[in-house]
Amino acid sequence: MSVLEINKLNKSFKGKPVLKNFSLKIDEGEIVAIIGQSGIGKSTLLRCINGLEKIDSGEIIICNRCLKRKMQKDLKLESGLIFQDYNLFPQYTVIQNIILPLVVAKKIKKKEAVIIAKELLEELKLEDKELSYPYELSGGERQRVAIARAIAVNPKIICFDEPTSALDPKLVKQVFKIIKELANKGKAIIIVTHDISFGEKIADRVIEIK
Amino acid sequence: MKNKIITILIIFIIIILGVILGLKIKDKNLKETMIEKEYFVLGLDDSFPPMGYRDDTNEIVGFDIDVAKEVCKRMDVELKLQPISWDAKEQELNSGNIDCIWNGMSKTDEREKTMTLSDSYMKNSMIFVVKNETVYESVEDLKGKKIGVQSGSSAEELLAETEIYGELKEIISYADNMTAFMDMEANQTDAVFVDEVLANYYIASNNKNYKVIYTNLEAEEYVIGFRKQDTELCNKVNNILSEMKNDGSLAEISERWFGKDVTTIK
Amino acid sequence: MDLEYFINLFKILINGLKTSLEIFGLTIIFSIPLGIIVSILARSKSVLIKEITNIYILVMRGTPLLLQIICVYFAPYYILGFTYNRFIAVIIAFSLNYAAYFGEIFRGGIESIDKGQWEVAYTLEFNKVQTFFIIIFPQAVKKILPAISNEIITLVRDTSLAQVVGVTELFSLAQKQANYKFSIIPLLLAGGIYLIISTILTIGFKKVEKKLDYYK
Repeated sequence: MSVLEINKLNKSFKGKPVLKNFSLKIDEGEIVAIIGQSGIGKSTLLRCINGLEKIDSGEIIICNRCLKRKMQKDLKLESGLIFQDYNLFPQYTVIQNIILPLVVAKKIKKKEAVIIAKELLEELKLEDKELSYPYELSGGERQRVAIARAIAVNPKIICFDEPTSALDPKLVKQVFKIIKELANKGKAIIIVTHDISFGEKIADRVIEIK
Repeated sequence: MKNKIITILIIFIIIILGVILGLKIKDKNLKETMIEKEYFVLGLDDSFPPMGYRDDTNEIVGFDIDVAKEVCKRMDVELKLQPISWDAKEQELNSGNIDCIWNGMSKTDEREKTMTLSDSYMKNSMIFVVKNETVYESVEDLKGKKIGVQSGSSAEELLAETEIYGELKEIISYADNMTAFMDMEANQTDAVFVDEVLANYYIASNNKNYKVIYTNLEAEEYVIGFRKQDTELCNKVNNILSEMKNDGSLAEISERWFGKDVTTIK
Repeated sequence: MDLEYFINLFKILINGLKTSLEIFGLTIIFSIPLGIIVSILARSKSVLIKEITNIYILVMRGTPLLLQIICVYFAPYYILGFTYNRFIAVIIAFSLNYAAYFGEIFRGGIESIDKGQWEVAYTLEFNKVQTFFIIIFPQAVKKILPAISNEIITLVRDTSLAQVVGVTELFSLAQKQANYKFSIIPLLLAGGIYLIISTILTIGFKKVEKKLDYYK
């Protein structure tokens, strides 16, 4: 069953077209890599899916519900985005970073949120970083916190914006494993990357934007 | 850009409409005030010894205050003292925050136009105060010198009428007389032009080695200022003052502050 | 100039200090929330609201506070024909003036926060109010704390302007005592009191800054 369907999506900035009649369909558990030169609109695609940009025409269907020009509220949590520079909340600890969206947006009780967060931290091998602040973490750790924060709210689609750009080879392997595991759990995954070999290795399908 | 201009225009129009509307409402409210109130609010710049000032217990005292107390007693109203900024005295009076200005205020043409003034109750000259050790003996000697004066005071106005005004080196206006005196003490100015009443008090209470130089200006008259429309109140106070003159109570207060009866009420 | 004179003088000045501190405290209580509102309005998408806010900020920062106090106190009489309590007028004028300054400081702080913070909060379904108060504002406060402490210490000294409408605060009482005794000592003593208050505030702000230093 497809969780995400994009039909004839058009998006331009100041009259300059970035995405032209772009179509895509992703099923549960599928990994799709989007490759292409930088500045060509790969990130824009992720921003459109996550409601950060209004689209000019076409449609984005998430879980059989159409997202027209603007994002409906309850659809936001169906899709998670891990930003290239992670955008962790610097004033909160690792565990607070993960709990906050659960408590604030999903209205889950704090006790339950803590349980969910601890499980995730364990899975991502961050259990000893629970009370650290983002500035105290390495790049790889920060990325894993961002992943934990995004998947805590249990989205069906997870978008990665250049997940390998700031990592050394050893850490690339680690994030590779994490992404694979997420897919095994049934998440639909879109990876935007300029690293063609990484994209080809990890993805079930590679799409190049020209 | 067009949007901006239109926005700004709209705001200005709203403000102007508001002011016009407000002025209309204000006209209706212009009526005789005070007479039937329980309080008599006396406005003063409480830094003018010995007319009205704060003593070392922070009480507002002075010759004017003692007279006002007696007047209020006879009018059977309660006296309230309201410190004001001397520069804003006309607004304070007109807006009804105070009922009179009673603070050794000199009678001037300007004030006669904007207020109803009481009979003059005291005479006062404007004088120059200089240090004893200086060679200045007459007004003539102060040509080409620096003079200090309190800003907004009638001394400042009257300095312009002295014969040496055009030939002064510099006139320096201070927020209060104390600063003017301190600056002269520090030799920054050569003389202070000030009310004789205040100068005498200052020199006596501080044992200062100062002398005074009299001008040939006509003596000032101290008056009480009321709102233009409060003529009835003004008459009432005038009557009580002459009553007090006749029964000796005014002289008594004067003797307490000046050692003799200096009042000019008839 | 004996000890009794000093004790007496000190008592009088403490009386004035009470008024000064009332002005100070009430101004902070009103102007900081108002400043937050101003900073939000100044970033409004509506051109009208944005322009009105900008004009407000321009007027408040572009004219002397002294004039503003006089206007706030006397304007209701000249426009509407009524007068009101001078202390309230002082609080209104101070709050409006400081709200403009705080508003500009807050706006600068908010705009210095990475746009990514807004975006990530958006994708995590925080609404704008939640994003502002939970994510953005706490980060902004850390950045602007030195500017805020500056402004607040300026306010301590600015309270002396209240005397222009006859509110007898610390400095005006000192001036009056100075006038009565023709002595500069009351003024120096008042200066010392201002200095003590400012020192306490400076130390306090340093402590808060340290406290906020737990993250980078």
